Amino acid sequence: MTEASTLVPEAPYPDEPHRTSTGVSNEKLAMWAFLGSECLLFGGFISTYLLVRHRSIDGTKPSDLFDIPFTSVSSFVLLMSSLTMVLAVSAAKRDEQKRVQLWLLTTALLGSVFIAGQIYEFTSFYNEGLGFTTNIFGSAFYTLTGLHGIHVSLGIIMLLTVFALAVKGKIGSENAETIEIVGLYWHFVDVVWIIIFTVVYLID
Amino acid sequence: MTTEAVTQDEAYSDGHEHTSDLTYVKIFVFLVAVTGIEVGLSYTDMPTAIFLILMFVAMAIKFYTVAAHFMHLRLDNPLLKRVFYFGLVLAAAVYIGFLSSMQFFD
Repeated sequence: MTEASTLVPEAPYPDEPHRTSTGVSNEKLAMWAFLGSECLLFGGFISTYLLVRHRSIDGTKPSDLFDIPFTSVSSFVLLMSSLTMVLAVSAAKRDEQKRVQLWLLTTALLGSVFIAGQIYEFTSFYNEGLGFTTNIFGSAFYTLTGLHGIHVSLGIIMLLTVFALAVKGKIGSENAETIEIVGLYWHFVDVVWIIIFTVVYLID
Repeated sequence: MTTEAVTQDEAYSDGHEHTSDLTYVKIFVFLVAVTGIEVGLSYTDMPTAIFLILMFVAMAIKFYTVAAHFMHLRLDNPLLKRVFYFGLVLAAAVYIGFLSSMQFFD
C-alpha cells in the first residue's frame, strides 16, 4: 500500500457505490426535503391570498372573473400530465427507451398547454380590468398563480433536459432514478395546483 | 412460478413493489372523477359549512392519492414520507396559527 492510498479514506461500501446509510439515494432525499420546504413557501402565499382576497376590492370581484369550466380543463390537463409522467418513470424502470421519450415529451407538451392557458387567463383578467396593482386581491392572485406557473415552467425545462438526455441514450434503467426525481417535482407541482384550484377558484 | 405467471407488478428487481400502468390509468380516472364532483359541487347551493367540508375532503383525497401513488410515497422508504410530511405539517401549523392570529376564522 502506498503512502498516498493510506491518506484517502476508503468508501464505506466499495461494492455498492450508490449505497447510503439512510437506504435511499442522497439526490432523492434532497428532492423530498426540497418539496417539504416548498410546502412552507406555497403555504405562505395561499394563506396570504385567503387573508386578503375579500379586502380592498374596487369593483372587480374574484367571482366576476373566474371561468370555472376553462380552469377545470386546465386542471384536467395538469392531472393528465401527472399520468404521463408516472408512465415515463414506469417505462424507464423497464428500460423501454422509446416509451420513456414519448411520455416525457407528452408531459412537457401538456405542461406547455397548461402554461398557455394560464397566459390566456391572465390576459383576459387584465383586459377585464384586473392588473397586478389594481387591488390587493389582484396582487395576491397573480403572485400565487404566477409562482405556480414559474414552477411549472421550470418543470418543463427539466423534462426537456431529461428528454434530450434520453434521446442521446444517456438515461437507462440504471439511472432511471433521475427521471423519478424530476417526476417527484412534477407531481408536487400538480398537488399544489390541486390545492390552488380548490381554494382559489372553487371556494369563493 | 412460470415465466407466464410473472406479472408486470413483480417484474422488477430493486426490492420495491411496483404499480402497473393500468393501475395508474385507473388512479387518473379516479382523480378526474373527484375533480368533476368538486366542480359540480361548486355550482350547487348548499350550506357553506357542508360545502367547505366536502371541498376540503375532496382536495385532501386528491392530494393523498397523487402523493401516495404517483409519487410512490406509499411504497417508498418511510424516511422520505417523514421528511415530506414534516414540511407539510409544519406549514399547516404555521399558517393556521398565522390565519388565526389575523382573525381569519372569526
